[in-house]
Amino acid sequence: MDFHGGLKLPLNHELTIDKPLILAKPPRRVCVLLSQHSGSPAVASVAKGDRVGLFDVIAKAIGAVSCDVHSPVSGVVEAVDEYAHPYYKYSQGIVISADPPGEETGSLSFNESQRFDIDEIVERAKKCSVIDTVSGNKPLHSKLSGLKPSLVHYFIVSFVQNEPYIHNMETISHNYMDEIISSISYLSDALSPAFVFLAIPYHMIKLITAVDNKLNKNRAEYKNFKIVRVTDKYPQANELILASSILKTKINPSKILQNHKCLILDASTMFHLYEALKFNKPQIDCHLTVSGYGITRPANVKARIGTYISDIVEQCGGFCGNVNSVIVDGLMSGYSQFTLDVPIIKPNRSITVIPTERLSSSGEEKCMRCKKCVDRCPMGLNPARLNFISRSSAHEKAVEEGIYSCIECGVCSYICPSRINIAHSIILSKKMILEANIRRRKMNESI
Amino acid sequence: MNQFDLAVSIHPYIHTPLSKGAIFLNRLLALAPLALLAIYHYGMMALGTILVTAFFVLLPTYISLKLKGRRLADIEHENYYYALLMALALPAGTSYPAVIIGALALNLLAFFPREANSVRIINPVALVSCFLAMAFNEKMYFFNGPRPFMSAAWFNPLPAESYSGGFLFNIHNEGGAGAGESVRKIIELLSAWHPCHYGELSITLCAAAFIFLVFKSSVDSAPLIGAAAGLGAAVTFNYYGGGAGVIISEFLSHAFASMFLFYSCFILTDYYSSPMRFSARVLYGFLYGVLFAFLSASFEGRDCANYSLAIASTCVPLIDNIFNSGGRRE
Repeated sequence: MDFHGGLKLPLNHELTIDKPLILAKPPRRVCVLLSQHSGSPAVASVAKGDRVGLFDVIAKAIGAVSCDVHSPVSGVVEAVDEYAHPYYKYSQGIVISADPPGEETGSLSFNESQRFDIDEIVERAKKCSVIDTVSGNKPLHSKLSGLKPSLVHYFIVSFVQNEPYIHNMETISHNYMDEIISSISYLSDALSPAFVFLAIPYHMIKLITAVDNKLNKNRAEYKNFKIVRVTDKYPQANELILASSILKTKINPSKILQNHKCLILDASTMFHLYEALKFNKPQIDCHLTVSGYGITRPANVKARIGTYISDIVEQCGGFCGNVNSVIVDGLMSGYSQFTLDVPIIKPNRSITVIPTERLSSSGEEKCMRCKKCVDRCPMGLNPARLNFISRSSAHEKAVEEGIYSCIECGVCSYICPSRINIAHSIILSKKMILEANIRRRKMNESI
Repeated sequence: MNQFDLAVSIHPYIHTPLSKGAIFLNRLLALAPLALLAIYHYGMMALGTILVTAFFVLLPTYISLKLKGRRLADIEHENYYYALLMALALPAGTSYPAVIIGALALNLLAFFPREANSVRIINPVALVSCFLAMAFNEKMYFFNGPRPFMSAAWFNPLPAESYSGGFLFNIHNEGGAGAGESVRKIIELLSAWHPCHYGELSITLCAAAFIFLVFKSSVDSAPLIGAAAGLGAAVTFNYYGGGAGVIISEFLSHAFASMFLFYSCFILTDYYSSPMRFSARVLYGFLYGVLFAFLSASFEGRDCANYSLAIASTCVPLIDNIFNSGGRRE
């Protein structure tokens, strides 16, 4: 399975691929941010000095696309204030001073049921605040709500990850294979899709073999499951690209479910859904690939949300060499951090530390119209032209040229020999168009 | 831990190692053996043409850098590349005033309107070459005189050659024979390697240079594919009644016994003047191939690569317009 454009990037998995998944040290202090997902952030329901238990709800959801935030530790609330956010610079957060290890309060209940109907799954996903990381970190219940068996024909579970240094999906899949397959099975039983595609990239040979063996053990139960080998090109992990390359059709991004009857989730989400269904466990952990040539002991780490990046880096031996960039969630689409006092949130996948000399830093040159961005754009756009239009603030023209189709993968900026930050111009322009539209709507309403 | 001074930048944090400078350096490296071959074959005539062209192509850039208080080392590889490309597109022994005018015209067309892409539509090397051909045709023997690189002169017996005409001359003349006989002769001629022969060596070098550039991702092969297809289609149309042998020999003589290959590999693939989409670039090359075949048939003995390319590049905005939204996912 392939798609037009994209890039075959050097994966640099050698630093961590053979390492076991380790638990991060129990944090003494966590900062739980209230923007753990896209959509409306939750609102704090605790105040300074309150005592909270493990898994307690500490912030309530507001709106349809929102979910509660649970405490990842038991302890005492130190403060509720604005703190550094890995994506948005600052966000509201709750700092909790954690109880010493072994004195944690909070328990889980095991559910022996092997079948769940879709309403029950939605309810559990909502209660446990599971995040769907494949479609822009939305709460999972908002994606699943309203689904009926007849509405889903294809159910795709993505194991795909093509960014350099990141393989947390592969780590999760190897460590929790049974849980993931069971979870897929529960959802498949609830929705009865005609096909369940397990999309695994070619380079994950061990995973393909492991999943194949698992399915072969009980073919009757997994009769509609099919392993689909997908290309190693970036951005294959994108929901839209994955759907169009598997279904071999052009996909409308906002209507994947309605028009194509296709539901896409990833292995990490399926694991957290399993925990929610079987143990009623809220999503309070995330699995990170802590890698890069700037870190002393690269590792695969399972850490509680709210743990500071500095604590994780310290556990991995600290920096080695001359480091001035710490990037969360990948070198292609991630965010560089201005401080290490940033807590991790649910959708985080990686912390990558790159020595200064390995980061490309040359300035922009004039465009030479090489068209490499046009040839590589997975959405078939003309990024060079969009960049030109965006920089001249011709927003209406940009919309005509399809700026909203851009998935912000960064392929154009990567491939540009003139080092032009095309993706950045496009993202900025989209933001400006959005703001202008909001202003216009407000003006119309006032009139 | 937090005393580190972290730099914040925007994604992606990595880039392809192939920079703009590297691309033009690769192109320069690819052209260097061709220039050496031209100097080896035509001696001082070629050396003079190359040096004078390069000097006058680079002079305005150097002056503008000096005025801005920058160093000579700041001249980009791109400028050197266009200087050498222009030199190789001119006949060796072109009068120096013509070379100087051409070099300065190239400067105006290629380097100064770079900010406004819409001005840079017609391929500058092809356009300058057309202008010089029209202005200095008789004096320069532009179409039949010796060239630093490939030319119609290839058909003529070359000095110190053990056989006259070269293999393409023979292919051309064997065109009238039966198809089987012609193909047999072509195979015979191709299998007889003559290392001193300028034509064979220049084809080999040109092809090797292009393969090197493809391998280094420094050239776009779409226009070349289109050009070969266009030439093939036009030759087939022209010589349909003559049979397969005639078509093959005509295709080979058009492709190799002229500036067609050189233009297709290095000038047609110019980034600035080719269309945006892959299919549009194939069509652009196709148009060039067809125009070349028909213009060559109309003006026998003349090398029409520059005219064909200049005309084809005027159609680029139209081609771009047709293919603009092709492949876009809405």
